[in-house]
Amino acid sequence: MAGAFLLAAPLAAQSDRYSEYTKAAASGPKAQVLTASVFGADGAEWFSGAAFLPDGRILLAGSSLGPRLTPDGRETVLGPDGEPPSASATPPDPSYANEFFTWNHGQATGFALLLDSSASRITAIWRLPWKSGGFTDACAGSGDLCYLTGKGRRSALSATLIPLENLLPEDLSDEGFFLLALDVRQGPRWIRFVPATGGTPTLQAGPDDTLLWRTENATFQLNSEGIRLNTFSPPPGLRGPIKNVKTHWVADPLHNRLIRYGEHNHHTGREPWRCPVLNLYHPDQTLQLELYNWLGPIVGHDAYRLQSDSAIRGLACLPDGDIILHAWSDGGNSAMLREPFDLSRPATRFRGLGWQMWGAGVLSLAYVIRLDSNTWEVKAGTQLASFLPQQNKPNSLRIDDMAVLPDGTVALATHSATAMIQTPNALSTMGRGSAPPPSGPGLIVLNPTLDRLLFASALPATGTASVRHRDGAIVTASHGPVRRIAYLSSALAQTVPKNPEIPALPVPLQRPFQSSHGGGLIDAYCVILQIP
Amino acid sequence: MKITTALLILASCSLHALATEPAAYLFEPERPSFHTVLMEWRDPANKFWPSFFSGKPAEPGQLVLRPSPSLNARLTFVYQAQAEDRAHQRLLNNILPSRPSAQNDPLPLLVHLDQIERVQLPAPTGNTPKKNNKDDRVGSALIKGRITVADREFPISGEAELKFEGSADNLPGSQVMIRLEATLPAEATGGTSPTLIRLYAQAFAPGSRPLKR
Repeated sequence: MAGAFLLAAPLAAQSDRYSEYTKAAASGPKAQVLTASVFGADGAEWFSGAAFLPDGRILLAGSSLGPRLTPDGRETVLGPDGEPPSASATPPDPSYANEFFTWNHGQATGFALLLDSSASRITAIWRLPWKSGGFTDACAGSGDLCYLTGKGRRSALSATLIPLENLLPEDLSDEGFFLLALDVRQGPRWIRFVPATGGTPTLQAGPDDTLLWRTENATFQLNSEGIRLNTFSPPPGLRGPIKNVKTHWVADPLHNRLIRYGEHNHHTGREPWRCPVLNLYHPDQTLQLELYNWLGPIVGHDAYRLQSDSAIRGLACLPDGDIILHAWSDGGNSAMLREPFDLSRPATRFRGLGWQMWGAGVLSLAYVIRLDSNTWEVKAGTQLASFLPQQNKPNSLRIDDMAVLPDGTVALATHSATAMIQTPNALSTMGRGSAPPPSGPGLIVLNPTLDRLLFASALPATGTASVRHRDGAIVTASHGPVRRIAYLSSALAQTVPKNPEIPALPVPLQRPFQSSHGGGLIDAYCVILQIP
Repeated sequence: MKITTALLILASCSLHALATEPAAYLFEPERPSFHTVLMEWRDPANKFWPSFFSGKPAEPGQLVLRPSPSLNARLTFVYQAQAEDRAHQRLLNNILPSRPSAQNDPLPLLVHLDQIERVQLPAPTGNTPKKNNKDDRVGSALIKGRITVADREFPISGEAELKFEGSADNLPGSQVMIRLEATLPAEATGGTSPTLIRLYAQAFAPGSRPLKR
């Protein structure tokens, strides 16, 4: 339990914060929705990656559980096809509310589709042989080249059109992660494979037309020919599970550093239990800098009264070296509001959207913070929450994933416990007229100074697959000249309200490249935004 | 007559509160279980980043406020935050040994507070502490002592704040936090300018149950 809020309640009665902040969110330029669309046939499909090609075309990648991807089988199969699944997959949970399909399902089969530059039309569809493995991420290279990664079986992938090369030839395990280079004009170029059992492979564009392929304990930097240039690994003592520490690693070769973030836990005899960790390492695995990393006994001391549990949950690096992180805390008395090297100094530039959190009690608060890589002070920051309009109180909002554009624009896949603040360009009709307040899965886009919403919308019926390593949805951002953001997940045809008096809401579509839900339990779902 | 009675009752309550406010507070290594001592080392010019330490009393000690003030507290430190890197901008990181932040052995830092003068106490609350036992009445005193840094000893003194709080038993003023700011000479950090230390030390009335947030 976190301590009570120190943030003072206003002396005079205030207007309802939900209405006030929704009104404020209407000002300023907003993102343009290029498309909000489903994709799939009568099976189960979801998106898990997007590659923004330099010319504006977009490749979307995901997984299908079959038995069909498209009604007419028009997709191009990358190699001799396998036997299709005989039937639609059985949901792991009959209500499909508590446990979702995941990319490591036995029927998972990776697929990709190419959209034109306006994101209005599908121009090509590819699929791996049935049941050879699902895709977990995608990334654009130069020209027509895209990269796709996923988890699969070496024996099944070896049967594709091109030879597979094992990056760790001494390990001949059949299960692992693969990386496919796909030329969208000419077809597959190469496949690389690493044996692996845990974690989720992901991709990121590296400097100088290289690619960063992230696996559980190593990040491989490859060139466009698939040749490994570097391997970044955490120090041996800090790999894998460590008691009372939950951390993740990000390799940032552009700035010659490895970054470790997450939380550590302390038996302090009092709050907080969770404390944020942010350590920077040199490529030779020696420690460069400790930020946050406060110890529970210090954070929770009565001198500071920062008893809210806090943890860093995601991180991205900008071309200028700045770091953008998102964090969670169970209250407002959080170490995240202090400078990362000085616990007793409030982060004065943490002004953000200016949402007041008084009266919140214990909840899940979200933080987005940009750190200045010259001074390591907080350059910008904001808190995010949902609200209880009737009670005029903040409530929980969770960030499931974060992506950043090179200029620092931040996209967040979120989940709101109650009413989220939406912008006028929201896709959801929730919160309008007699519709229920906008809650559940959502997409939020913040400007680089984190003080204005470019887009915020609940996305009902979406976020219904286990994408990469988490349930919900992910976001991804273009690293090229076209400033675009994609929200990727899956969607039911409509919501399934727990309370029968609440009407079911259809999945929000706008300029869809597939006109309607294709049937089956879930279709792949995406929202693609153009940032002004 | 009625007014006089009311005044008498009020005076009685106030005296009762005064009588129940503790006269002495204990520094104990084993009670409470959490760290009760905190110290910041700060560069007044903000050229270097600060260093943070937490710990406990090294041995039993006492702060007596009534009738005759006295103080004896030996404070030891076992945790240093952000201790692992050798960042050139971090105050003290090049003096104290590099080690994991959470290593639970005493650091070569010891504070001994042994003089208290000019004690100014806040008026007794006369009330049961509010929600969360917040009391937050503040007094002051001149406190003196010594700090040992890696075998070198320096005198410290400063006008300290005495912040009183209720305990988990709802006893008013049953715990006190000393907040002392003092300046150390440049030799303490091996630098060229003086260093500011900010020390927080909590003490608890005998038999009270420490407030755990």
